[in-house]
Amino acid sequence: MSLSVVNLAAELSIRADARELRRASAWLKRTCLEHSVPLEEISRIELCLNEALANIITHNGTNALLLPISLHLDICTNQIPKAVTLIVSDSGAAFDPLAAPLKPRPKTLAEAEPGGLGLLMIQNLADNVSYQYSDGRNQLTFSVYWKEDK
Amino acid sequence: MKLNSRLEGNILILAPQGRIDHASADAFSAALLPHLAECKSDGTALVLDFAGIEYISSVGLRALMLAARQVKAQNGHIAIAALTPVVKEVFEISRFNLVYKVFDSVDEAVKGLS
Repeated sequence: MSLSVVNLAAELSIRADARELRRASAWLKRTCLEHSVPLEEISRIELCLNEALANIITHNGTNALLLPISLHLDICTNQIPKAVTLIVSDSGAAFDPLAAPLKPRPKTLAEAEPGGLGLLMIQNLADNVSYQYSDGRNQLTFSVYWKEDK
Repeated sequence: MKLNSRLEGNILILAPQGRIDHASADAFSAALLPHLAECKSDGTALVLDFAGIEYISSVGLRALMLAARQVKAQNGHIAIAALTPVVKEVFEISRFNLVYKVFDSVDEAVKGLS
């Protein structure tokens, strides 16, 4: 994915509040549908978005709740593979989720733990995930790719 | 969250609808709670019919895990049936398909718990 022709770039700013998650989801779904992103890929990136936002609101500290969370969406359909990329930016304490060890996945109910599933979901559902911290903000970027019209 | 319910013998089938995410997970847990209390060794077994669940996030999985733990502590039986493709993928990623008894259909779940 070195050269991308962005067909659409859209942005949304939301309050760092759990009640905003559905508004963010609705914006993401609506925008993707308008640009013919397949439903399967929309589901994948929507789950990533929800998990990323939930982690920010729950774990990124008080500062994360003070300023809005920024969402930047790029949809690239004039290339192979086609791609949807979402950048989620927050003002919380610097935290690289990709550096955090993933908890082992449970094989039994006794092994299951309530936390850590969000990162697992993002890393498995997205085709590419990256993180950087700049200008006092965490930026988590994830993409999903697809090759054919569905 | 409203749970449509029906009884087949000693098995109660509960059918939630929509999304289980941050906005609805607590309501889902609250709706499930009275049924979980009855799900014990001498009570009704539970089948969660997920055909109407279009989406579940990790907070929903957490609610399911806590429900399963309560049922296990009571020596009851609980299963999930008819996962939609997106929910099935989430279960496979999180390995909740190993944590829970998962069946392709409600009929199979009823047979499996009978």
